[in-house]
Amino acid sequence: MKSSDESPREADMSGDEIAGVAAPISQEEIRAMLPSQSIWQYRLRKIDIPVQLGRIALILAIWWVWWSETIWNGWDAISIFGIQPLPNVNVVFRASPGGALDYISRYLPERLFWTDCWVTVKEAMVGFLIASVLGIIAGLALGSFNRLSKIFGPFVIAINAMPKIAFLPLILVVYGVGEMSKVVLIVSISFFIVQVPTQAAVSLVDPDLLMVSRTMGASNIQLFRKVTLPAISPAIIGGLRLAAIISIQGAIFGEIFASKRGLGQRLIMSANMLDYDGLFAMVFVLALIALLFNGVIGRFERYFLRWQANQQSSQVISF
Amino acid sequence: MDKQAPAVELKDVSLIFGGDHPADDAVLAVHKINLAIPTGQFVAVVGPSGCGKTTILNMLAGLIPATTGSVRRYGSEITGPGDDIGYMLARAALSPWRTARKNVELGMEIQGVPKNERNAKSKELLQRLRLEDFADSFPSQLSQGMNQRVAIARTLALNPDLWLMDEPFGALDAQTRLTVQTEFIELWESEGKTVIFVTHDLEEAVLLADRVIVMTARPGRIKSDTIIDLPRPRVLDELRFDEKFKKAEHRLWSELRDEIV
Repeated sequence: MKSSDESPREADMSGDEIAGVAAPISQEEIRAMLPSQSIWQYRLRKIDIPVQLGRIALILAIWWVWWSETIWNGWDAISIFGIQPLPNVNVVFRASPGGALDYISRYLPERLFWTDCWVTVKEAMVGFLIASVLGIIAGLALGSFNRLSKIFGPFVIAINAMPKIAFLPLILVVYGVGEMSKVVLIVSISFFIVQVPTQAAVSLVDPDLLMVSRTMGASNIQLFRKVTLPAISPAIIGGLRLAAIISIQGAIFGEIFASKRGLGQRLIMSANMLDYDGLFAMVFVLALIALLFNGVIGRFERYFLRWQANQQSSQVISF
Repeated sequence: MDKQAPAVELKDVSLIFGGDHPADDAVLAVHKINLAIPTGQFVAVVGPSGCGKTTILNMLAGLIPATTGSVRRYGSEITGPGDDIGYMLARAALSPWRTARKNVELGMEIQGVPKNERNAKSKELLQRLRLEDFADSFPSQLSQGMNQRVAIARTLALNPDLWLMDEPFGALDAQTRLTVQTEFIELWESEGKTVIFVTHDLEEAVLLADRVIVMTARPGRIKSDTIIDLPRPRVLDELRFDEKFKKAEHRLWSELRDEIV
């Protein structure tokens, strides 16, 4: 190849020295051009120290503010239109991280605590699974068949617009205060969270992909299996992720309202006894359960959506 | 199927879009097209945008029925999508969840070709298009030109008898296009299948085709029908500077220019 420190030639010059193809440059030679860097320098760069320090500082700050009770003492100076966002909290209602940890370590060996955990997890899981299956089926059916969506669409939208929680007193009367009433509440909420994005995704499948398969002789079932289903899987998994969290919230809300057992029941009992350490302990345990659910779905997502170049969305925490 | 009849034949074909409701405008997309293409001919169709080029391909693919007239292949009427047609679009339209190899095998999967046969065929095609090192890459990891080559391999994997191509290289940059065109024309010259190639690029049409059809602005009609008498095999990057080629392109351009407002 010609080096560029010679002067350029005229465009109409006869091509007397057309350069040959340059020899390929080996991987070693290319590497040698890069600045040298040890594997530890690489890892250090990946960890990104400022980000990690920022995270640790934030956690320490929250811990300190809570622990030092500054948060409970309030800040009367701040007043927006007569409303104090940080009021002084009566000593009786105060809680501390130490107190919450005490509560957990006190109840952790107890069988009843684990029973409560299991009841809540079971309600959330069963409700989530039923809602997911029904939501995916309904979303697929309404998205695929124009007539079905014309018949059922307006009713689905109307029911979705109703606040499902308002039905809780009625659900309790019909299904009792046991686990069944929570499952029904969860299904009524989470169903729509899965159904709506599934239906929308079906109508957004790339028409070129469908057309290409059709010209290769694909039947409707093959179109569904080879094009529609993989194309909408990111939307479905996104819906499932959201529905899992909402399902836990539904279980807790139902249990706080009326139930025999469950973490929500334990939470409201602590609150009624002015044991706010217990309340925070429950919030902590519930957050752990939610992370567990999220982790399981993240596993599914990583497996089913291996093809997505952007894996960022499946990252939960990356310490 | 009558092998003596033309591979593709359109007789008085017109197509109207819309007009379901009396108040709606009915659009006449193509008007009384008559065209017969013998087996093994490479026909390019050029014309201003909106002249119904893609519509003709869709009718031949059996995706939309003609409003009047008849569309035939080897003498028999087309009633729906068939499996001996390869249709290729300007967008590669690859499945992002399939690797290059699996994309090439899509049609064979649909047709129920056994796995080892599929693998052998996709391997051969990827090799011919110099993509063998990228067989397990996903479309998002490949360049546009590579993806378009994967799409060519996918179109040819079922060994179709008729290749319908809708501006297949329109989305590529000039240099990539020349490379892909060269690979494509080598493939075609070795296979000799019937091709209908829609493009807005007159140079491309004359470089590749045996015959160039110029269409009028909407409603699309055939304005001229020209045999391109250039020898094969064609070496595209040389042919571009050939006097005979330039003359043919120039004459067709003067016809096409009147249709582009």
